[in-house]
Amino acid sequence: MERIILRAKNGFLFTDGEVYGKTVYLGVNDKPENWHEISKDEYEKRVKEEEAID
Amino acid sequence: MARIKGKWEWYNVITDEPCSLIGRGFSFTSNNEPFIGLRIFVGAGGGVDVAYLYDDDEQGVYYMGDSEVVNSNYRTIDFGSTQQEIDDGLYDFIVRHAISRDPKTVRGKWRWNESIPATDSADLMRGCAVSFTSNDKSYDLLSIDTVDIGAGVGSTWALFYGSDTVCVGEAGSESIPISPEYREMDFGSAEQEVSHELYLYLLANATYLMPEIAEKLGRIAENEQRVYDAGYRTGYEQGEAAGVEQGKRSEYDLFWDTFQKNGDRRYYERAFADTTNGGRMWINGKNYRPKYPMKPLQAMQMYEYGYLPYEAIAAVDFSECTDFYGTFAYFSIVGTDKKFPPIDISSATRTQNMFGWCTGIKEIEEICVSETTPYSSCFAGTTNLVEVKFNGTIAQNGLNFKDCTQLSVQSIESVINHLSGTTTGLKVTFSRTAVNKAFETSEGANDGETSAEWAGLIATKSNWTIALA
Repeated sequence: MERIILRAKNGFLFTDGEVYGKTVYLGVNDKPENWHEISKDEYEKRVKEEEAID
Repeated sequence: MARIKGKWEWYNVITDEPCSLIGRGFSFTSNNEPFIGLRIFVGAGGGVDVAYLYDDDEQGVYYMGDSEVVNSNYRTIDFGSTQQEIDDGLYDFIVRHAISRDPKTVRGKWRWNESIPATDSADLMRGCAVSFTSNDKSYDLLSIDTVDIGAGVGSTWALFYGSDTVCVGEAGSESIPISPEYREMDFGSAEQEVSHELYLYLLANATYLMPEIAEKLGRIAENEQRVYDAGYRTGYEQGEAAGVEQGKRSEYDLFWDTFQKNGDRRYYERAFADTTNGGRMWINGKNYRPKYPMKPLQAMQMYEYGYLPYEAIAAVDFSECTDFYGTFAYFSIVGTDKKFPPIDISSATRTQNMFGWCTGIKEIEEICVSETTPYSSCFAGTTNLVEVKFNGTIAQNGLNFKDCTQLSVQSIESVINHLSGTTTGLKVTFSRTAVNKAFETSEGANDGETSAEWAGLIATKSNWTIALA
């Protein structure tokens, strides 16, 4: 079965709440409805919070 | 008993083995309310309760739980500025499922590198409030932004102290050469709180000058020599070789016997972390001379901000270590090849930020993993990593190379070839820039994600979702 590929529009990325990507190659048990687009600004904000270290 | 202080913030999601933990005798605040204990329960079915107790009858509020409203207002807990004793089990649970949120500070003199890079940090471009002097003038703002350099020429990057444009880069360049008179900044003797962005930028592009700790360590090294000389004279006069050795070794043994608990130390949290004010405290061969072999069980931030050679890290046995939280965050390898030795993380239960912001590492010879090894922001900010090789099976979620824009073909292949072929529902992330470069169909094409080679590689692991960020 051919992979479903999600490609985000300019200035956006796809996310399933855990992982982010401009291009996402879905695994055989993954579905497009698990993913939604967010803006690059929102992505950078989330990553900054998730990666903070002291 | 462990000790804890400062502010901590729970992760959004907490998963763990079933456990039941309760402790009192320490105090903390959350949501501006005082509490006297913690109760943590993880059920066999995966449900998690994190409750803050306000009386001895175990009445409390929940940050996370099934029976009470989950309330993000209680996500941050503050143990205050003084170390408090806390049960080892509770401490272990906190450090594995929460991030320390103490503020960043700077003080003293710092010197920029000869040139500094442009930045896309909105915080730095907007300007960071901090008081400092440079070139005999006082400022209260530091920023890096673009500046117009003439009609028809356009703009370029510049360093600003206050409203002064102090150093300007060349047109089209992404770096700013720093003029000698502006290279040194003095933030004063008192700690100043600064933004996280400025703090990281200083660590990456400036050097802290004449740290007090390094001065004190230099005096220890001098004392060691004096003790050696005294012992040598005693041994010579009495004709006893033991006297010579005693004089030479006493200071060394006293420190390392204590620091490594006569060889019994297994918890090395921040043991060799360099100071957060920058500067190199631990110098291999001078004062980094562990007496006993090290086989940590816990290596949280063990070498954070450190600068040590290959052989120093290669000598540590991490095979039984479970906690790699920030172990090598901001670490740099001595030497031009920037090669990091093989490391065994097969026993890990936490690897968050393990190699975070290690811009001083180009190659990791081998990472030995097991199917239970977790991954979370292990390589955040590790932008200069080119080569990495895996050994073992990657079978957990979250391995993320989004910042590794220079990752080689061989490295990407190593990751994918070591992904489990049987798990489902898991995800791995690569840098889209790295994939487009590594698999490009012709030099300079940067079209790797459309190549047949890339398609063929990821087809071998169709059970994985692969993201290019």
